[in-house]
Amino acid sequence: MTRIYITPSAGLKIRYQGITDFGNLYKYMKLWLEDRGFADEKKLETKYTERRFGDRKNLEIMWNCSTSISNYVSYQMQVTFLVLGLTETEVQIGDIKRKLDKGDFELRIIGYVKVGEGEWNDYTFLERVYYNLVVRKRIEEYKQDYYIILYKFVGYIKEFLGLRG
Amino acid sequence: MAIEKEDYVTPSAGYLITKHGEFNPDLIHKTIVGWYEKWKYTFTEKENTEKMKPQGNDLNLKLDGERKIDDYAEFHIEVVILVYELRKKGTSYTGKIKINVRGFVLLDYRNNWGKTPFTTFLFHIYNNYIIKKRIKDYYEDNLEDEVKELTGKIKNVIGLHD
Repeated sequence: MTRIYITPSAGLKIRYQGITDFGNLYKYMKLWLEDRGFADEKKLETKYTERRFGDRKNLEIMWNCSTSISNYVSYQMQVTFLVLGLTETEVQIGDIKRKLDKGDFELRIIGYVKVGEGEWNDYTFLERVYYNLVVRKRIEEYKQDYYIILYKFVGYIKEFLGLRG
Repeated sequence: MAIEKEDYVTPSAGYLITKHGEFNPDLIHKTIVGWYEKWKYTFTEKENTEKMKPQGNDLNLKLDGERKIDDYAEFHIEVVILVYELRKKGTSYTGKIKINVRGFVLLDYRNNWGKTPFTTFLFHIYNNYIIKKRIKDYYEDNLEDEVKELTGKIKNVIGLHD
């Protein structure tokens, strides 16, 4: 199995300290991934920890998602949320008062193209030949394709949070 | 000085641009990303942080571009943008901005050399004697020109003399 990283191996970091609708962000991100075949409701979330400190809470959420391109290649994504000091706050938007979430929101997104299953030593001769002759040549195309998808997702999150770029 | 795997054309701590006053962070970001695209760099936004503070927002952006030149060398240009006390003023913004630009040639980016002490030694000989002229006159010169063009554009956009 080979991992070809699209992001730095530590991931892309998106951090926002301020007020946002975290519930909606969480929901829309999930829907975005589901719509593009990266996730299904049952398998997506691998961790959801909430720690309360008085009226504040910290959240740690991990998502593991992937989409298969062929029997041999898949796009993998890991999303980690770290939310610190989350509190509810009321914000006046026009004529309406809305309850939003205030806190320090940090997201890490790791993306890589996974080629093959298991270890190289376990491959049969034919699999090795297939890898060297066919898959290796297509890797650049997979990387480009996944790069575009991943940055659309990052752009979507940044737009929601009102970040620059 | 011996040529290392990461061969810097800027000071290794980076080239620093600072301004206190009026600037537009959105335009700076757009200019840098546009420049990366123009020169066909693969662009990664490693970090995008914004903190809302009463005295003005803080921003932290880390942008990284890499471009393969041939099978041996890859150009890297990293830009770190730090903004403090950013406040909106009409259509523009005021605050304090620090931009750090680092450029280096990454040699042997496929890591074919340097797996054993002997290949590390060969790598050193190859870079410092056999292809030294190519590294100095071709890779370094070209990257230096590109870094200068980028810093010039950034300075232009934030209203500094270039």
